[in-house]
Amino acid sequence: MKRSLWIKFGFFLAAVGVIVYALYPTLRLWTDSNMDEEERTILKAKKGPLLGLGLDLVGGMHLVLEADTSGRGFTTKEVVSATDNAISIIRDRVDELGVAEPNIQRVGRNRIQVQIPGIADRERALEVIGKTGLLEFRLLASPEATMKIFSDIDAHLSDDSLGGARPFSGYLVPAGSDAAVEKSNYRAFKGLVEETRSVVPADAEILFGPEEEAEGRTIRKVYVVKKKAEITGADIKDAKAMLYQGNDPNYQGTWMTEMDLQRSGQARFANVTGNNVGERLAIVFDNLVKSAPVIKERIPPGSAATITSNDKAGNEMSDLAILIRHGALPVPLRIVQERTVSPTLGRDSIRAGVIAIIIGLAAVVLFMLIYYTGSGLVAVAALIFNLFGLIAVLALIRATLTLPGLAGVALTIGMAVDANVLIYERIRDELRAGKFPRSAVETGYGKAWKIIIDANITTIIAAVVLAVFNSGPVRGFAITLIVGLIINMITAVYFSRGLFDLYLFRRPDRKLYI
Amino acid sequence: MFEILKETRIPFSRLRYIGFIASGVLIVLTVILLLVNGGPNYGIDFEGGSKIGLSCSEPITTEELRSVLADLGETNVKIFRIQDVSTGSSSFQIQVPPKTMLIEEEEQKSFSQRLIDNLETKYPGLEVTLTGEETVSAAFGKELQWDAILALLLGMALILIYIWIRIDFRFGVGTVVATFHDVLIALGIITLLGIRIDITVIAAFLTIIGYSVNDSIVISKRIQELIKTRRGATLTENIDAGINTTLSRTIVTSITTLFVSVAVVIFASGTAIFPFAMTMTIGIIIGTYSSSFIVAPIVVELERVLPSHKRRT
Repeated sequence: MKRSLWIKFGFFLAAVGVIVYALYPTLRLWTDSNMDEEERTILKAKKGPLLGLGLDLVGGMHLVLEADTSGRGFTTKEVVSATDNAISIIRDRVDELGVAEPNIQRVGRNRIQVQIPGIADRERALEVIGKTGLLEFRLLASPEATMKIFSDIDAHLSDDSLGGARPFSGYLVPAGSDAAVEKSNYRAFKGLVEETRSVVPADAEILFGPEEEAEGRTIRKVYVVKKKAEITGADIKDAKAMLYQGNDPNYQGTWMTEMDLQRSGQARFANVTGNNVGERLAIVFDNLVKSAPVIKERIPPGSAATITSNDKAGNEMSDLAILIRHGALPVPLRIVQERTVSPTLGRDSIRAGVIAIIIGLAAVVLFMLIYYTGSGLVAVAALIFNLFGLIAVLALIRATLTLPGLAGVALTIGMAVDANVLIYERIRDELRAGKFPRSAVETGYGKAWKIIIDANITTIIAAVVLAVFNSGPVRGFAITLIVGLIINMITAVYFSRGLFDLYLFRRPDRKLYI
Repeated sequence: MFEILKETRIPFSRLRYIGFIASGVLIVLTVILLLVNGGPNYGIDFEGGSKIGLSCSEPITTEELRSVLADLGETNVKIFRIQDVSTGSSSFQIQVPPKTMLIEEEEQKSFSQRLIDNLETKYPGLEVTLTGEETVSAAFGKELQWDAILALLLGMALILIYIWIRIDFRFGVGTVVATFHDVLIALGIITLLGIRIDITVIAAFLTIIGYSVNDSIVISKRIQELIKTRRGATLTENIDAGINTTLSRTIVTSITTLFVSVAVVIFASGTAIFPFAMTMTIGIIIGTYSSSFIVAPIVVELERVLPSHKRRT
């Protein structure tokens, strides 16, 4: 008896040691105000126990992007590799935002989960990350073909084939060598474009340029672009903006973009440029024609392509270079889920959660003390040990505490006393039947033990199913519940039993306050 | 010894018809409610759409907000208003259907940003901040919904198998019927309260299932124990005794769990966890009731239809 008590005491001390070890870094991180950001980052990056806070508590942005690989005839392996390629590009884009500790990972085959804690500018983040981001180089239709398509649309819209009526091309204004539409007419014009899709040949489509200022008007250029992508962002190796270095006096003092291709695209690009000298190649990003330079000559494999401009400040070309370099997504991405929580709401949630836990805990403690008196104290000690143990294990497995996770902690408190209640009710039965305290305790624990296991396992089954089927905050809840219930079974049986044994050690008939 | 209940001798087996009638009425009401309502209220997790949290520096009315939303072309909107009496500010939860996805090409701005801009233009001096935004595409929502249903069914199946192995089939059937009963009635009540089903509510359902089964197992095990030890007693006597002797445990555990879940309901009323806590609280109450009034009576009924050799009714 004495020996087994010592062993239990040893286990208890070891458990306390583990708890302190597991909680120390987290406690330091949360409470040490002398630490600067850098130290915090180092501490967070270190291996070892640490309990992080979920985005719903610190505030931040959670995005799920889906790679749209439909209709491309990809094998599963190709889908995964295309998604992985997209991830590295997304990572670059997120880095550009300059946020601390972003988490970007693939979920399933074709989804990318992006988590950015404490994001301040949601709009900018969405814009940088959420863009469909497919970069394609596509040939423009020849000016003659373009004119023909426009007049076909006019004819289609004006019912009678008399000609002369220009319901479509009437909107167009010249912009350099291109046609454009004024901003005020854009919506109406775009409506006509949608309506007359069938008139445009199947291998081409009408696309717009970005808004720009020209001669005091805000316009968007209108292009007829071939649907086939000659090369895509995946074929681009690098692109950079630089001052014009050629001999053409017209371009002196302007900027240009130089672009290197991956081996995969070089031959194709050489063919396209060789066969279409004098034609224009549109740089299409997100179905927006960013630029449509004229092909001056064949670009042989291995040499860089240059895009000249009349941009003197360099902004336009450096934007184009960044777009070509970073916008190189192999597949279109779509945002399928977004969750943004402001840091204020996060703080409110933490406060609400912690207050709920404290009030709930206080109520349970009070109830147990009133209902079971002295033995209630044992249950309360077990409960508090349980709570620290739960948080320690969560830190050990480096779990992330979410708002549902906090609810899980609260619920565990409520359910944790169940094991003790089961045992105590049994002990009461045994005492009523006239047994001595020590034997009542022994029988009570013996009989209740199996039921405690059976009853807890069903809740654990439910929680495991939850953890498997969910990602995100709800998994946090499920994991908290599983860990909480397991620790609870151990503390109820060993920890509280040890306290009873200690109490009854010298006098087996000592009065039980239960 | 402080007891909530002195030794009770409630004849649960004889009272089983009361339980059956009460539950029957609740289930019929739930089914009617769900039919009238056109199914449960799904949140954006399952239906797709956006949920936008706004906090306004000065109080504006729901109607004012609704008209600004209508200007943006959103008429099918659900608005929940939370008024802060002490500061005079008001905050809103707005739910819009799935078509407005994030950034529209033309606008270069997300829907919530345009909403904030329009509000601030229309009411000068008003400062609006975005406290949270959630968007789920309709297709992704369908997938989440399917996952949730699968999780619920799989969870129940696994629990049934566990009970079947550990106790016996009759109690397994009783427990599963009671569990369905709990989830269905809880669904009815949260629909009545206007709570929208999201992932956290599904989590609450699964937890309710675990909890309700937990109760049922404790009672069933006690009944089995009594069947083994009191050979002279009839099954109904053993069932009554089993429920009565575990009654104070059933109630004490419910009370302690309710303490915390009610605390969460009260303090988390403005947060994302509120639907979860509310569902949990309702489920605990129904689960406690069903483990005493539904499980064992079903075993009694099953025994009458399919008598086992060992037992006498």
